[in-house]
Amino acid sequence: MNQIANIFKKDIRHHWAEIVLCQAALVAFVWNEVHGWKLQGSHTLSQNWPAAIVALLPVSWWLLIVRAVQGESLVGDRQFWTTRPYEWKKLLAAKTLLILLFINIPLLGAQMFLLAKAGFVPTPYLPGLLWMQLLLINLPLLPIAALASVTRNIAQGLLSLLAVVLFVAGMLALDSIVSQSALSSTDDSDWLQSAVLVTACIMTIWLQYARRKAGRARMFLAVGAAGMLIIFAATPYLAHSESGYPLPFAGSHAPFRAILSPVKPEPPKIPPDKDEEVEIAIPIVTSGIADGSLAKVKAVRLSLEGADSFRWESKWQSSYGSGLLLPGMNSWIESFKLDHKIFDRMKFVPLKVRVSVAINVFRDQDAMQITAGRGEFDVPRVGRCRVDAKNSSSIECQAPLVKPETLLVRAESATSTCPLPDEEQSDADEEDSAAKATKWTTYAWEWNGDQRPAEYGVSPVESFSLYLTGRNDDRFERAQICPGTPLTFSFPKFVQGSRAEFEVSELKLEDYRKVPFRFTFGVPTIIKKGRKK
Amino acid sequence: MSGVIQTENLVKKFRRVEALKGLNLQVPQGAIFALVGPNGAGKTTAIKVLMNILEPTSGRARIFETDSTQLEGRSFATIGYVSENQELPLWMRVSGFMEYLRPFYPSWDRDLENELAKKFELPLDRKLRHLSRGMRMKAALASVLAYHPKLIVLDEPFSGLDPLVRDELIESLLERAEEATVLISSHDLGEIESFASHVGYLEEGALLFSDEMTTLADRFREVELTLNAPGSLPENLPESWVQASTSATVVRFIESSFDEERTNAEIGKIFGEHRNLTFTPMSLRSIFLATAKTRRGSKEKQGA
Repeated sequence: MNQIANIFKKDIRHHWAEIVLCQAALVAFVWNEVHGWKLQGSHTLSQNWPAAIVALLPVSWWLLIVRAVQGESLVGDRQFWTTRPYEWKKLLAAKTLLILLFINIPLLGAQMFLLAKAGFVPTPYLPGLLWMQLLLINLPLLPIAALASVTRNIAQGLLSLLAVVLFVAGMLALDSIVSQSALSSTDDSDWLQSAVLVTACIMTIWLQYARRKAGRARMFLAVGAAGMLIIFAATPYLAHSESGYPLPFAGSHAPFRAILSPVKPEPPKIPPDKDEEVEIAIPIVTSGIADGSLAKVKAVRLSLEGADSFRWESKWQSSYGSGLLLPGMNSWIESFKLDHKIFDRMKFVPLKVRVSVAINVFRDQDAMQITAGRGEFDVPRVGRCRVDAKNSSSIECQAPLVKPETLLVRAESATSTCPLPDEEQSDADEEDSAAKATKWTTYAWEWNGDQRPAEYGVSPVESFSLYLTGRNDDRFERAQICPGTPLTFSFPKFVQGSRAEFEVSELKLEDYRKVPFRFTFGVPTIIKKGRKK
Repeated sequence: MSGVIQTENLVKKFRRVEALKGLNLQVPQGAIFALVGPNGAGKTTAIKVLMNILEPTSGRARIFETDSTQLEGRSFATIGYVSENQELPLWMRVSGFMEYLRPFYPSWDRDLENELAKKFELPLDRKLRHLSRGMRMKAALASVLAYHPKLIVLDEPFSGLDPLVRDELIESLLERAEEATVLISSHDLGEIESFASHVGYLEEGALLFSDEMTTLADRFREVELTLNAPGSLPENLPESWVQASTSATVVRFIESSFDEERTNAEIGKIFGEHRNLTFTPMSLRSIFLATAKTRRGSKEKQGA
């Protein structure tokens, strides 16, 4: 009998419990996914425990892989099989077959079932599903197998898992220490780290099966981990690049302009908390976005210069208040954190302030109007969407394998088919037609970066919510979407990165200090001096 | 001389500990070679290097003209290895164990398997984990003998077994010995003396001697003689005389290179007139004890 089949058959007999656990975890995962779609948008107690179900799947994979690999332990000098006519390639093939047959193929089947259940014909998505499988093999299946190959038993396997957890915790700690730049792109670094991880794992597995050199194999893993750590730590410095966001040449047409808002904020009456960093809130106004285009702020930076050679510069930081920049005027307030000592020293000194704004410009294209249906409705190039039953300003969508690269959804207030509340209805009846003519547009925006065949993960159905909001003069407005409301879906295309800067002289930091606040039990609480214990 | 097993200056170090110190060993085809020595002598290490379980630090070992580091997969279809501390798949039943191993060996003899199972009274439906140590050893040996290996390597196979089981295993081994070369390690000289054809004595990682059993037995004699007058032992005794002692007029020593004519001549030359000269053959145990004591004594002298 073929050696692969012989070992495979033996492994099924030996690891039937782990195999059953894997399949049970998969069934639970599928049930949870389908159940989760039904619950989407609502909040019930049953949503608290699906996390355990999702965790059960990788745990069951870990257990099966570790037990199967350690069934013919590659560590130690007492195993009976090492002096039997095992051929290492066949042994490795038998283990691979077991993993493919009881992890990958059932998962592929479950993913096809989920796609069908979500209303997508699965076969066209097979390449994407295989891509998902490949990503899952790279992480976590391959690292699990590599760790299993250098450990003797479950206890050692758990210890190695603990080492991985500590390693990841170390990476996260490093992440908080190393200065990040919001302008940096970590895509290349992620790929490089993945390549290092996969190479280290493959080398480890090969070394163990072909040579059984546990010491050297462990060294490979350690070197791989160190390599990932170095890449991870070095990325913010190496990837920091302003070249992707050039300032326009003198005389050339600028894709957009930025200025300090002429509306000066009201100075806060509450002094800053001594323990906290002080937040400076700069109101920014942008304009000049061309018709048919839109933009998103990538990062902002603040530089301060004083007469006494004082100089301070923030790092490039992500913008949280800017929203979508559209043709016409856009205004928002950007906050920068400043060390308390610096603020105290310079708060009343007139400073020269420079604000840099880096944006990504998109050209709006491929717009199509779709009427929100009662229940689910198809949106080409997206998937299937429905109006959130609990929140009429939101639509929930499901996309097969991956979210669209970019997506802009618009709704006009004037075309909303939602009935007005009773009191508003009576008011509306009394209002004249001129008042009714007040219109605003609400938007929802999705940008997922580079297009991939599929997202990393186990679920082939990407669920996401689109909240449509906008401004009506100074008022913040929510969309009102009901069955019959026309929605415009478009797929903007990235055009360029650009940067604008403006300088303001004689600015006093105290005038732009933001009132600190904290959330206590979900309610924003203003911190008043003397009240903090 | 071509041997099934040949080692040349085989060295194995575990960090600073040198477990094998330039081992030169030859196991001729068809031999039942007993590798003996005290605990910690390096027997298991030597066997593990031979079986490519451990990699030598330097030197080399060859099995059937193949470098031991190249032994893998198919090489083991003709080699049978059983060790006292081998980890067997304890979750398997005895029958399942045999069934699993069968396809690995083209030369697996189903009839012989059945015969061995019967002879060893193996409980086929019991899991290996539920077998006694002796039964487990029998199962391991049966799983090796069933495919007619050309080389059988046994590392302390009888350690801790009761004499009955030991004799059963030896008997089965001897039945197969005609078609195989056997290398067996043991620290118990008595258990291998009855059937080994060759013997090698390993101590502190070095082979003190290696010989055919008959030659070895011929080479060693306990010598006793009575002098006409009491006297002390003269200095510069022949190197082959070990553990020489005297009590009044009686002189005793062990001749490790016995040749009746030559030994007689040397005794006459050194002691002159003497009487009651006896040459007594020695058991393997006595030979090794004498060798070990002599070695220890010479080391102490060197240390002093």
